[in-house]
Amino acid sequence: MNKTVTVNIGGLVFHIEEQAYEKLRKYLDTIKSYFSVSQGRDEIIQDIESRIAEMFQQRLSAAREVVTSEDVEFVISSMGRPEEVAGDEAVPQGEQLNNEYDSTTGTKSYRRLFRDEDDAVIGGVCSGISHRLDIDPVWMRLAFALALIFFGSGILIYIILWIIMPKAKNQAEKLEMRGMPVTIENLKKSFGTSMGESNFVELEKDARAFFENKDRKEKNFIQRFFGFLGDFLKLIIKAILAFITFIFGVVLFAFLIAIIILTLGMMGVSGISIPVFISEYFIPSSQQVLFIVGVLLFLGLPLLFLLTKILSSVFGRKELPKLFSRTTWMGMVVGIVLLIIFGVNMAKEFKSDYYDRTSVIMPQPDSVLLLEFDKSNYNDKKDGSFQFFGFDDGDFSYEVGEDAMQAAFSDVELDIVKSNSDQFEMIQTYSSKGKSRKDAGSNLESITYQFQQSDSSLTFSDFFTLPKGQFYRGQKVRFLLKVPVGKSVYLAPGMEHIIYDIDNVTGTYDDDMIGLTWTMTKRGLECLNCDLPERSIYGRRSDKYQIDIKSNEGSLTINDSIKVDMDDVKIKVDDEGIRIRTK
Amino acid sequence: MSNLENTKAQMRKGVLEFCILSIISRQEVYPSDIIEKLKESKLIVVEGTLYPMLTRLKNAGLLSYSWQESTSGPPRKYFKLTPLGEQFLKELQGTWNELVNSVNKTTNNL
Repeated sequence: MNKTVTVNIGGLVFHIEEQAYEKLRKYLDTIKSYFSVSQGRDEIIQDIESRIAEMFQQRLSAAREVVTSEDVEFVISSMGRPEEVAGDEAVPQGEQLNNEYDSTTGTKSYRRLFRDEDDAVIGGVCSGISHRLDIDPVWMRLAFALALIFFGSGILIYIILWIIMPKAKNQAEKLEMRGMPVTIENLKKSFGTSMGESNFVELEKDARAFFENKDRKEKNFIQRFFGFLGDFLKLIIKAILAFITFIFGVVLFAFLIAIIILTLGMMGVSGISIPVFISEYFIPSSQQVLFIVGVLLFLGLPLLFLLTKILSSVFGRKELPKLFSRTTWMGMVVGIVLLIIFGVNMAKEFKSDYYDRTSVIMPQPDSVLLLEFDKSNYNDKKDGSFQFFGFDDGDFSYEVGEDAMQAAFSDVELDIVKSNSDQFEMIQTYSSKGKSRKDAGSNLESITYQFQQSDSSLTFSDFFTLPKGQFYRGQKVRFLLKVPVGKSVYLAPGMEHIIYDIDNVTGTYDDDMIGLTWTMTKRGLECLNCDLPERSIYGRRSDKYQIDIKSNEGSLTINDSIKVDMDDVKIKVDDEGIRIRTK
Repeated sequence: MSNLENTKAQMRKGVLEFCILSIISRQEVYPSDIIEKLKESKLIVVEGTLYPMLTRLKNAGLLSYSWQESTSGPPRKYFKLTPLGEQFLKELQGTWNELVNSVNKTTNNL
């Protein structure tokens, strides 16, 4: 069973098998390519078509209504191969270009710019440009896809090019497009060769069928309308799927590039900043090889595989060799093993803790202590450095670069509590992790943190630094400021970067505490002159916590004591002990 | 293509135009008739060759054609010589006779 198409040859209608049609069309195209318009190309083709129609007519009968490949072959053999048809009449080689287009210098290596619809994803623009530049169309397509993502201009440029670039209509133009001289030999070669069909070609076919739809004509309006709607939706969905596939491929490619850059950087290729940072501040050289190889195998390999797979489906290439997918799977397994080993080794680096607490000698202002924020950031202090990352309240903010001598980390926090004495007191805690307590202790020693104080103020900055070569092992800087009852602190703007979850009477969030003066009362920290709404989410009742959960089954109350009150069981925990009563 | 074949083909090609014009001069014909005759005399092998040639001769003003309905296909083009074509053919005949003479002389004298 073969699909047939209906064609008009020499004014007569024929049903012709699809394959036979393709063959005939290529044949006529090739003949066409030998002649120029001024030679009466159209007339010659018309005459030949008329004759072909006559021959078909003679070969068909009531019993055989469809033109087959054999018929086409018969016609071709009796008409003669394209170059025989052309004989001496053909436009002499090389002159063809000038004769018809008068646009080239006629050099043989010249490639003309055409759209290549044989190798088209959308309109053959990319493949056409690639032929002109003699590169693989994949790169051109990627460039367009990237232009689309980054600037959105890809679409516009594409449409313009689609409009202005002529289509390579016949074999001769297709040869010119590829920079091959239009010779009999080359034409013969290209005549009859056909491309593998990709899913996009299929899409294009669907689209054609949709726009040309012949079936619809015989139906009534309603049927036509829904038929149209259905076809239209199918077409849209297919187009969207094709687009998504393509974009997905581009994203994968970007990931692959990122991984390659990461790897290169870790292997010490200069000018690539993040990995240098990673290798200098996080991963000891003994672990780097494990990490690089693990990442490459576990992420790089499958990405490469997926990308290849997508590209091959997009561009209609054949199945990938089995070996490729097997290698990928095995590589991933090895990769994950390496990464697990790496993970375990790195976890060991963070095994032990070490703390170093010191009391800071404090200014003792009469009433209000100003807590100020050092607005100058790390970059302002270091000439020629370059901040790669900077989270406002995040853990890291560091500078990297060729001459980087140290990195800044912003794991600095301040809490404020009630003082038992009548003095302002502050405890500074440096902490770090390490392989052992000793190791953690030495990791902590290289923390450099400075804050300034005057008669009535403390100025905090939100980062400490570690010298180059000192690994980051969870180093932290914490301050605990003790405020005596009756005295106040003023939180200057910027301090929201430093303060962390300071308890206060009104349950005000840290960010909302900024710019206000807070006084330590017996109940806790309070803003006396402001009208802050009391936040009851925590269930705060003045200076007491109470949690009260009620449901149909019973209740749980936590204040001075813990009470569970249910139908079957009652539990009470307070300073008298634990009592449990069941039914 | 062997050397011999090539030479033969060249010789045939040289007289092809002359033969086509001669066939048309006898009566109005349509391309398939011309092809039959040319095939009999082995002057052409495939019929495709004829169409570009006819178009060229027509464009040169040597031929004209008229459409005639056909029972077995699309309308056919029937070709005849224009006065210019007849003049052209006459001169070709003269040249051909001279050529035959001189070729005969040359080859027989060898």
